[in-house]
Amino acid sequence: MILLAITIARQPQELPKVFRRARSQLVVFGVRLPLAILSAAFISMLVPPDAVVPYVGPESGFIGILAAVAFGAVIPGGPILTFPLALVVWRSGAGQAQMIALLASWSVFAVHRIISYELPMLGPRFVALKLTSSGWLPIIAGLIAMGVLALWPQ
Amino acid sequence: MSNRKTDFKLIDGGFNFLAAICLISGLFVFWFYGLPGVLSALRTAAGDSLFIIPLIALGVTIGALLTSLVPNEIVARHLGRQAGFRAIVLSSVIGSIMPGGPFVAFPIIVALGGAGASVGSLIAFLTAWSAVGVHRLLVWEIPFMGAEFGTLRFVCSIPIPIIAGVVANKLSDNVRALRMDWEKRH
Repeated sequence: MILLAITIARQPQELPKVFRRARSQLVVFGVRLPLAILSAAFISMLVPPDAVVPYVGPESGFIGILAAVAFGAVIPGGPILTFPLALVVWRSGAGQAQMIALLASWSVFAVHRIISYELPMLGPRFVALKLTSSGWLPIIAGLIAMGVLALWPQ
Repeated sequence: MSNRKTDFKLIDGGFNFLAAICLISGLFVFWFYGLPGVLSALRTAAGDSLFIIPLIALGVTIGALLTSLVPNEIVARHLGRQAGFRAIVLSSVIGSIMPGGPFVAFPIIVALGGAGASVGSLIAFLTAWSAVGVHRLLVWEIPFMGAEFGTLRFVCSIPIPIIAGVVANKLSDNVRALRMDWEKRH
């Protein structure tokens, strides 16, 4: 609401553009999300919790973080696919720190983005430098989360 | 309005892929649990959709407003002039609040490189946009996993782009194979 007020005050001529942009995004989401959410509901019935909890459950610790990072790194898609999938893992009993490592890993590696944007626009050397400097950081994010959760019990 | 169909395609590869996943997993559920299983999944999905989609709509609107408030060229010009650790922190902050998909972010990164920003700033910006992403928090994480998890994820991700930027600058300066000669490439 505050943002809306600022926009109206500063750039009223931008408003139609804002709504067009929001609407075209929402139409795409509106068609795909129900499908993705339904798939997630189906898949979570098919995935037994035993297949998730021992690997990335709250008690899985550092190994669980490594497993989550490995899993996150190979998710080849945008958020419409990833978040319903993450919801499946989450509901099957994944730990919060492991979930954070998974999402961080997905966002840092993002195979689809490397192929379609980073390689063509920024070049292989940039991608190599990016992966060496940030590829191990999802593990750090998971460890920070473990630390925060230990200090700040739910 | 008559050419609305040409603006964006609703039924494309992504849609077909999702539809296929949905159909296949649905058939498996039907196979294992029969019709009651499918119906209970439909109920879960309907409940989730009612909860998730309005929140996503709100997040998308906030994102669209932010996009119009953050003018890309000005961002690139200002960040390009900064240097060192300060540039990395600033790139991380702006990358985090930068809304929009890759088609918005990548042209900015290229423009930043052209404006003379260090490679560490570029990597900090890219990593902040993808891994910290306030936009992602609003559109995806809070609707799907709740505000508490979203906040924890956000807080734990804040150091990531800063570390990435510092390491990238060090590597680029010291490892010949990873040295970026941005000016020569463009």
